[in-house]
Amino acid sequence: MTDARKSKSGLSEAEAIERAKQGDAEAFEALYNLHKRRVYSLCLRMTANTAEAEDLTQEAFLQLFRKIGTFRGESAFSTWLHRMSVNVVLMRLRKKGLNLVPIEDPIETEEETPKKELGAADASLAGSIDRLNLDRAIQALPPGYRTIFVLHDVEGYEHNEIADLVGCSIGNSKSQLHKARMKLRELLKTSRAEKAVKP
Amino acid sequence: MTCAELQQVLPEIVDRDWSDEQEKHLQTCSECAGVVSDLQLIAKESHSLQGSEEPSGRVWQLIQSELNQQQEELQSIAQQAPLLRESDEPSERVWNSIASVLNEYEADGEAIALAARQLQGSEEPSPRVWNSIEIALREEGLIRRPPRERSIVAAFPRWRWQTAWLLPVAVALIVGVSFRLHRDNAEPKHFAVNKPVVPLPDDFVPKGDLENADLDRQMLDEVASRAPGLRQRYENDLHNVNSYIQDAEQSLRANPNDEEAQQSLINAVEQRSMLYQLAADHSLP
Repeated sequence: MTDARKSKSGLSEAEAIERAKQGDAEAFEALYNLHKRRVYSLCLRMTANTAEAEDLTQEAFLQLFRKIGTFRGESAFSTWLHRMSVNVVLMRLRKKGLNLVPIEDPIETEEETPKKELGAADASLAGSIDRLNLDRAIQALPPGYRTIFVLHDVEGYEHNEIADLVGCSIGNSKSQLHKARMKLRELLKTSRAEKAVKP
Repeated sequence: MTCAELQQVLPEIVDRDWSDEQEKHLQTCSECAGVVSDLQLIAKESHSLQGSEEPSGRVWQLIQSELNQQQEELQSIAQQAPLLRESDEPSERVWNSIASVLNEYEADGEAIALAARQLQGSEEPSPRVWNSIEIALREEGLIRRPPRERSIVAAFPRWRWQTAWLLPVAVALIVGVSFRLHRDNAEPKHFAVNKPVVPLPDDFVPKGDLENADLDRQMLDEVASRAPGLRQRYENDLHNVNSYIQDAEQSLRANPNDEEAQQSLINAVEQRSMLYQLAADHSLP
């Protein structure tokens, strides 16, 4: 429950929202502290760039504070904020000319397509995935795969929501997610193999 | 089910429950089972990344700086806005124009008020008005017999039916006037509309007025002999009604189709006939 969340200043989220609507600087800070990690992590995962993630976090919160007067509570505040943050990031990526929307049923090339080889049972990633490796692997994903993967597997959006946010079909979202996961599996295995070679 | 068939549907089914056929294949195919296991593990571990990163303190400092700047800008606008309201003073010419208009309004207002006051009581109804009123009141029994000191013109209705023999005299006079009007209308060349109206000389006496002058003198003598106190008033009334007749006749000469002048002339002649009847009334003192 949002009301139960308390900021460092002792304000509940609902109190902070109401006071922020009146222009209370302390309430702004309270809301920032309550949601900064998720917003920043989202920005960082989707851009794979710390400076850009900070810039986008700033932009997302400034937009939040400018529009907070329009928040009527129809949805959870965190849902409203995160959707706004996703849009801020996607807007930036579009401006940079990155292809956010993977092409439907793309002709797969040897380089882009995860290998069909499924691997042996003993090559399973179980027990060998740590956060750092996963983080690096996600950063290594092509931007199109990364966007879908982060939105679905990290942020928990459903395919219909992703299709709406990104502007693609639900089938395309599912397809790209599967390819992103297969690519990650390959990257993680490669990373594990490299570690094993190194003394 | 083969490995290829499972791989083909894997994007759709990896996050859902498996069918019996798919479950059976996974139990017998370690390769496919490893892939599914890895994909599910990646999805599970990835979710733990949500909100795992902390932005540096610089982010909030930048946000705060931006918010402060916006706040200062808003305060500056709020402070300067009221100043703008009184910052520019209009030139003296503007006030002069306003004052001029106000003065004109005031002068016009005074003129209108003065003219309106002058209108008060400026119009007098014809004697017929009061006669009609008095007749109606008497018929309804609302007024009593008028005293003798009252205006002889207003007193006329009291006795006019007792002197019915004088009615033909009045009728004759009306016929005479009507005949004169008819004659004037029949000779439009003297009063052509497109000709300028020539003012009559002061000593002009209309034809027929000499006869009336004789009759006036007779009636005045009659009143003087029977009620000397009323002579002056009677003379004034005769003079007024004759002037009234002359004015109406002059108007009709200028415009023979003037219906208002015609009606005025008829009223005046009736009034004079009433005066004649009054002089002949035996009830006079």
